[in-house]
Amino acid sequence: MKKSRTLTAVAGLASATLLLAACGTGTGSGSDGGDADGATTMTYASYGGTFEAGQVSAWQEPYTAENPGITFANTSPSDTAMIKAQVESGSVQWDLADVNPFFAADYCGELVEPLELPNVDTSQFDEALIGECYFGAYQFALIVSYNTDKWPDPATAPKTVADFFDTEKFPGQRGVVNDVTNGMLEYALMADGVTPEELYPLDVDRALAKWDTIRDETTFAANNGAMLQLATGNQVDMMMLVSARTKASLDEGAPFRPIWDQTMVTFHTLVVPKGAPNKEQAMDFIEFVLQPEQSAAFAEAAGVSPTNKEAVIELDETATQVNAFDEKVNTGGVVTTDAEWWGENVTDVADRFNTWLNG
Amino acid sequence: MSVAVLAPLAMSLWRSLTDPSLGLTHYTDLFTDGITLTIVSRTLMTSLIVTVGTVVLGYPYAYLMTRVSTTTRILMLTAVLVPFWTSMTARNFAWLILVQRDGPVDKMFSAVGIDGVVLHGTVAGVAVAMIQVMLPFMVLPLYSHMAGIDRKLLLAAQALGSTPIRAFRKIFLPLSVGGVVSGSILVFALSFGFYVTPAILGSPQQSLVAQLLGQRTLQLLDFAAAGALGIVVLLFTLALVTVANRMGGSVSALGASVAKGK
Repeated sequence: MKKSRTLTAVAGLASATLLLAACGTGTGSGSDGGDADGATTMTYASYGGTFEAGQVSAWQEPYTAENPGITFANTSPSDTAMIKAQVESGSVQWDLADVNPFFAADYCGELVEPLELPNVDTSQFDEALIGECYFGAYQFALIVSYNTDKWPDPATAPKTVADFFDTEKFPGQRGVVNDVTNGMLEYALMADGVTPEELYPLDVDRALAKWDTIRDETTFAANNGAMLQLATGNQVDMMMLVSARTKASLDEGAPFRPIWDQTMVTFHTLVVPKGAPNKEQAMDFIEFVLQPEQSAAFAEAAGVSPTNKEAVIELDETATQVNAFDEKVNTGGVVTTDAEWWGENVTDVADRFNTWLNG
Repeated sequence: MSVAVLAPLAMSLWRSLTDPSLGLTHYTDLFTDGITLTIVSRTLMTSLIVTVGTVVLGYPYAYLMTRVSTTTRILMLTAVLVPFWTSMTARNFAWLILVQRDGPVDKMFSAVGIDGVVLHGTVAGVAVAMIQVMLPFMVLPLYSHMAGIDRKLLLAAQALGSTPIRAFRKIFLPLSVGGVVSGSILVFALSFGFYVTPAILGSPQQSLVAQLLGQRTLQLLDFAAAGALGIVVLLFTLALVTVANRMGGSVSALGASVAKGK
């Protein structure tokens, strides 16, 4: 008796990790779908905090104002594993999810619905942002910056992406977020002499070989929050961090200045999980948020950049300092991630990167 | 309860054997992908260090608890339990501040002339913090076990001419082994699947099993391969518990610890 209780207890402990694999994570709040009096609640998955609050105030509230009866239930985080688990189990609860375009391209038609957005004026968008299952809703740059405490004189400070990888000329600790899709491979290749036009298909081995040269001087942060903490704690001398978090570090007084060479830009899309309860309404919502006003409102609220070229935004001082899309600020170029290539290769590359990282 | 535990488990097992096709591919991959074995052995090593560390710190502490007045014992017990009740995340962030670059630990070592002791992002930093986090799981079963040892046996040994040290070594130590085994199983099993501390204090370069599982599930969406890894971790833990049970330990000693205090 005693023995079997012991076994049960430990089985419980150990299977907690297995539950993660079996169910994905988190719990989506239920959607009640259509109602007799026409009221609909759409379940919307985002990333919590002020970021999600920005989507609520810039997108959801104006949409509800125009479409009385349609409200939103918000849930987070928007884990793609959750979408897979929902679709496979045949009980899809999310109507809309804010995800990266690689997932959308990879599982187009399988886990996410192809987008039907007849009313969107595609001439207002860069074509790299548009695919069958994704349509860039906001974009952001992976800013390369250096610590001005370490290099106070701009004349002798790092100026190029190649300098980030040159620990002889610029010794010091590097920091990057452990997310292989964010542009870190592209930066390595450009530092190694590849031109922006020749980047894709990525030579992953060459990129990893370049990272190999500075791996001992690099801190790989688990996520953007951890990298922000490294920045504000003065733990790194050069870093690659998304623009909104780089701005946050500046707001907290961290001594960083962007390097304007080539800057990698990536974007996020809203997707409709396959078999979502309110598919048509969700498509209508996506059309709504792609309009200039909504695009601008969210960009201002969340510190990202609008994808609609007609959107006009006003930025404060630190947001301007990291704005890769402002030609007065960014004296270099901008390279947008190739969502199609990443969609096809993301699993393989993530696996190889992880093996390299732990090797 | 057993349905809630076993049903998802059975689904994971089934999927790991059948997705995308019937076979043991996901299991053989664990041994051949060049990363899982590295991470599993790193996790084993970390868990072992944590277990030994908690025994070294917890044994004298638990022993002392059996030798002091009731008031002091309650104080000592509270000292063990308060961190146990504190938010896991808060404690790990506290460690982060201690072990990061220019943190107190780094500064302390710099003061005595040793530069660059940055435990953040290393297995050593993870192990140190995990020892603190796991300490209650060692002290409670140890104390529970030790409190049940009849001290008259030690007096008898001394009456028969044994020195106190010899009496401790020949009588108390062997009798307390059960507590050490119970505590060790608990600490080892928990450490093996531990997520929070490695995620906050470790680095992706030094990931442990739980991080690998998280990555396969959340990033690669490879539920079948994650299931295979999870099943292997579970079987390994169960095997460990079975062996330890034969050695006379028992995890259920934990629940009795507070109630039994004299």
